[in-house]
Parts: sequence; structure tokens; C-alpha cells
Amino acid sequence: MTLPSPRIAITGTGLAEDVEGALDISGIDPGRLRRMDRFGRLGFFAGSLALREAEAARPAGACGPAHDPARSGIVFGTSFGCRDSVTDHALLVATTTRSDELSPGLFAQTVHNAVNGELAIAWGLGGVSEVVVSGRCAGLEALLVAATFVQDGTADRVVAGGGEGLHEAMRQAWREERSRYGEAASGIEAQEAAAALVLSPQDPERPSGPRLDGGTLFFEPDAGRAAERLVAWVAEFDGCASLPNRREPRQLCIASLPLEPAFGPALERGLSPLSWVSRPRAMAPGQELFAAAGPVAVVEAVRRIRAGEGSAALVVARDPDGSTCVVVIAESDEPRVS
Amino acid sequence: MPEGARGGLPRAPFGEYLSRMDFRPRTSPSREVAITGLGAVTAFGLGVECLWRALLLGESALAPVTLFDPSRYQARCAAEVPLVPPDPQGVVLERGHRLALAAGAEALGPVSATFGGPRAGVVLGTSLGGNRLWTSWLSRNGHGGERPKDELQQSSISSATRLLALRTGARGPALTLSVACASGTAAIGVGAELIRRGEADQVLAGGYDALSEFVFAGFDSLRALSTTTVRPFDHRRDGLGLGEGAGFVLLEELEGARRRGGSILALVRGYSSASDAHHMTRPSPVGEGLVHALEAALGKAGVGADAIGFVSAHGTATPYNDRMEAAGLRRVFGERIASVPTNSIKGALGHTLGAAGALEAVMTTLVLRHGLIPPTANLVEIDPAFEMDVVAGSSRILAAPLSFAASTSSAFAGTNAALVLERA
Repeated sequence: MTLPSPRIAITGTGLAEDVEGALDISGIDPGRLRRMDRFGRLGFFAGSLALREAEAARPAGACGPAHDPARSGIVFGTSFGCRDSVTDHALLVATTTRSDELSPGLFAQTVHNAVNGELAIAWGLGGVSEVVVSGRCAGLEALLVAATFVQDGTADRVVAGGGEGLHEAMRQAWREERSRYGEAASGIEAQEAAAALVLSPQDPERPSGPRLDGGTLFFEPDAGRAAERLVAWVAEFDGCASLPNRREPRQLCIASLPLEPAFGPALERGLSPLSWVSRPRAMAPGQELFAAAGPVAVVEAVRRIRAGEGSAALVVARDPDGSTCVVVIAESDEPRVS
Repeated sequence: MPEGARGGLPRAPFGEYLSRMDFRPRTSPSREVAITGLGAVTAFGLGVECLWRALLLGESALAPVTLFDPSRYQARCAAEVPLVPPDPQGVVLERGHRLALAAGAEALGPVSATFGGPRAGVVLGTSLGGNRLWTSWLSRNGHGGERPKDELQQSSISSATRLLALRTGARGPALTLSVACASGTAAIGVGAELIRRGEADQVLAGGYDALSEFVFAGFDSLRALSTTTVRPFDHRRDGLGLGEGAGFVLLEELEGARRRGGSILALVRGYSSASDAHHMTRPSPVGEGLVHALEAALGKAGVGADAIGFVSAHGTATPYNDRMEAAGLRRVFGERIASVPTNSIKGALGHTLGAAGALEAVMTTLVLRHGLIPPTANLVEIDPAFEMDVVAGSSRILAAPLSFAASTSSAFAGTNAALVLERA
């Protein structure tokens, strides 16, 4: 049996960098937002912005309900998830003497899928729900997992992205951890942020706006070899008509911060004819966004493509632990048969 | 993995390194996914065999907690793994990671000699990840003193996945999923999807979590722990018991598994997750997310609810959960739910969080293979409101082989997940 599958349209984007600013969302109970974990609040904010943009972009006069709750899902990615709440709960367990001094509400926020639960409740999203926690690549991996649910017909709309919320203890842990990466990481501070996109099947009658065309994810501890595999994948991937043709001047390659010296330069050499944007505008120099970096970069790519600054983008994430991920964003064109 | 076992995928230069996650329109048929290996570490001990034997006998491993002093809590019991296997290389600090390494090694079995490379993946589910090491780091933070090497690195949520990928040589996708108590089910479902889409030919998938005071205290504060006996679906049920462990399956592309002469234990036919969109800790009273997850998994499997001959329920033994499951399963199966054999292994193993769904998938695979259904430990008198066929007392020998079975999980934050397995 052969079944044609749809392309994946990006119909909304959202970016959240200020956890306090996230409290100011009209229509959402601020008390509820305040009780959320920092990751949960930022993820909720970014997801809500993306969903609002997708709703606003709905064609005027479109028939039928806006969406079927059971076919609307959430896939988020994060390195640390709700470790902010985990830390607070752990400190309470360590310092209280009676169990009734603990906070059940706080414990409920210690599951990494809390952001999914909050978005599902607020927006009535009853479809697929997954959280990827594979380190710095988790945000991009979440986009790929979400896209598979759209393409296999499980969902008509998935809000997907990544985020990080940080407890002060986590910032201290980062300062300890960054010494692993030597001088290159000196002065780089951990930063919290979240970014989300809404993915839907592309309407073949209206093939407009950026698409998520593909990507790859793999585990390769050797940074040089990982770059080699990634460059080889780009050479082989024909999902975006312009990407293998590196003479196209409007291609972008946006990499989140690869900390290993052997990875970034090798990647840059391999993809050098592309217009290289090593850091999205939303990410200031000297910041480490962990798993949020990939989706932040994708949102940047989508916005640049919409603004006519590029026709396609590769967004790369790499965790020094070995995970490597790339996604391809392309400007929509007329439907093509592969 | 032998070259001939790769399903004839095209091999361009570098082709073997390439995953083809391609979202353009495509017409390639999806691939079938087989379960060819099982692994478990539970409170009954090391290995699938001792788990299966104890489950069939209706034993319960719940006993007074020894890992920490539970005297300040209302509940006092949990199902602890009696002997956590040491790390052969002596570098793994986290209890949960050692559980995962041992169960993963059992699931791989003899395949470990050929497993690995860019077409092999690892997908793990965990609720707690490296929380124990993070808590340990916190307790020392600012106080100086000697810290175990790599404590911080191993405290990351995904470090067990990295460990397994490093030690098995897997260089394909390495994913960690964390959707609380549905994590193990999600890992198997997403792992199977990677194979179905051609991203990998073999995936070691499973879930794990270790018992800790962190989680015991949290559930106790929610008044969710039983202070008597953990009795899923019983009218006297008063809460869950916590456990720990790891459950793993080796997933393989069916034709490749056949070519290498692997044992096909069962097929993964469908998976989906869904949200209740109701409450952060209380499940939807009508099982909204469970219904959507199970119906979507059945849809992917291409079978109706009438094909399912056994349900491995989440069955935590909390008043809310079991009532929700009874309502949700009735919505999916209708009146027939009264005659679909169902069980819960949480009276036996406690709630093992990220491991639960994976251990239930291991048990469901064995049910399909042997035609035997373990009883729900400690269930004496089913809640009369449920009108379900919950297996209790002793194992049930099925008169005819089952074709399909379902395994379901329901988690905090309203995430539900369902797997549909087929007898091989």
C-alpha cells in the first residue's frame, strides 16, 4: 500500500526569553502561571505565542472547527526540564522534618511533561504528548518527532519546541561543568529561553510559508566524525532543492553553539558555500541556551525566510556528549512530486 | 550488524551514516517492527525469567523501605531491587543507570556482538533520570569536600542513554523521553517509529527509574501512597506503592530480524500518546486521554478494539486512576470490556515510574507468547463499579492463542500512552 504523505508547514512561531514577562499573557490566570516551573512557564509562553500566531494565520473564511482537540498535540524538548522545581523539592525534602511541610503542588511540577500538561489544559490540546530530554539536541529532536506525528496522520497540529528554565543552583553547576570545554567556554553563562513552532500538514492548495522538510539525528561521540556525517547528510539530502546546490546565495546555516573546537570549524568548512549565521539574533554572545538553542535558531530561520533574507536554512545542534541533530527549513514553492 | 541484515537499503558513499528523516511527500511502505529481545531488573531480581515466574505466582515484592528512613512519612513500603548489579566498568554512580545497563544487556543478549553502528539506536524513557546524583550534588554544593568524578555529568536526564549508546556502539538515534509514568511506553513506541520510518534497523528501547526519597516524599505529600496493601482495581484500594527497576526490549526491522535468524517474540503494531487536557495530577474522570491514545494506537495497528484479547492496564491502585481506567476502557471496548482479560503488575512490583510501561510491555510480550496471564497481585475483590475482567488469584491459561494485546500508561500532567502488540 502506498500513501502520499503531506509536507510539514510551519504555521506559527513563538519565542520567550523573559520568565517574568511570561506572566503577562492575556486570558491566562497569572496565579496559574506563577505556580509553574520556570521551564514550564517559558515553554507555556512560547507555545501559546506560536499557537496564537497560527490561529491568526488561519485563512479567512476557512470552514470547519479550528482544530480537533484529539488531533492537536505537543512535543517539547529540554536538557533540564523541570530541574528548577526538582531542586526546590529536593531542598524541601532535605530540610523539612514532617511530610506535611512538603508542597504537593511543587512536586506536581517536577515532571518534565508539566509544560505539556499546562499547554494541553489551557489550549484544549488532547492529542500526542511527548517530551524529549536528550541534552542540547532535544529541542531540534522534538521538532523531528513532532513532524513524524503530523506526517503519519496522528496529528493535524502539533506545537513543538524546546526550552530551559534555570535555578540558581543550575547556573552554579554550569560554571563547574563548562570547565570541561576549556578556554572556549570561559565566560559563557547559562541562559533560559524557550521557542516553539506550530507544525501542520501543508495545504496543497496554499503552499505558502516556510516548511520543515527534514533532518537527521544521530549519536557520535567523536566531534570531527559527527561533523563529517552531518556534512555528508547535507550532500545527500535532496529534500530542499537549493541546499545541495551551494551556489544558491540565499541559503542560511544556523548553528546553535557547538562547544567542541573540533565540531564547529569542521562543519563550517564542509558547508562553507552556505551563508553562515553562527548565532541567531535572539542569542547573545556568551550565552548557553542548551536545548532551547535549536528551536530558537529555527524560529530565527523561519522569520528570516519570511522576511526574504534566505530561501532555506539548516539548523544544527550538537551536544558534546555525542548527540547531533540538524533540521532543514525551506521556503515553500509549488508542490513537487519526489 | 551483518551487512545482509539491513533490508537492502541503498548505500551511497557515506550512505550508511545517513538517516533519512525526510518530510517531503513519500510513497515508501512502512516497515514492520519486531520485538526480538527482552530484559528486566525488578524487585524480584535480575532477569526476565525471575520476573515472569513471580508474576505468574501472584507474588508481591512490596516490603518495608530500606534505602532511606521512611519514618516521617505515612507510607512505609516500596518494592526495592534487592541487589543492584554493579557496573562492570565500575564508573556508573547512579543506581538507576546500573538498572538500565543490566536490563539493556539482557535484552540485547547474543545480539550484542553485532549490535551497533549508524543503523542502531537507543531510546530510553525515565521520569527521574539522574535526580539522585543531582540531589547528591546539591547537598554538597557550597560545602566543599571530595566529589565523585563525573557526578554532575551523570546527573543529566539523558546520561543513561548516552552510556548505553557508548557501550553498545549504537551510533544512530539516541533519544531520551520523559513523560513521567508513561515514559517507558513512549520509549518503545517512539523507538518502533524510528524503525518504521527507516531511521534505524535496530533499537534498544526501554525505561528505568530508581527509588529515591525524593519521589517517595512527593507521592506521600500527595497522599497517593497506600498505607496498607497495594490492591489495583480492588474496592478497598487506597493508593499506590512505589517500586524501581528497568525494562527493555530489542526492536528490529522484521525482515532483517528474520534474515539473521532472530527470535521474533512479538510485533509492535501501534503506538500513540495523548493528553487528558484536564488536570496536572488528577486523571480525566472519563479517561479522555487514555481513550484517544488507545484509539490512535489501534488505528495505527489497523485493528479495531474487538481484536484486542488482553489489556495490561496502568492499574496504580489509586482511587482516581483505576476509576479513570475503568471508564476509559469501557469507552473503547464497550460492553465487551467485561470479558477482556486485564491485569496490573503494580501490586507485584509497585509503580516503577519510567520503567513501568516498559516492564508491562515485557510482560505483555510474554502473555502473547505463552498464552498465560499473570494475576493482579493483592486483588481480592474487584470494585463492583468496574464490571471488568481483571485477572486475580492465579494465572489464567488462555484456551486459544491471543492475536493482539494492548498496554496502556497514564501519567502526571495528563499524558497517556498506549501500545498495541501482535503475537508473532
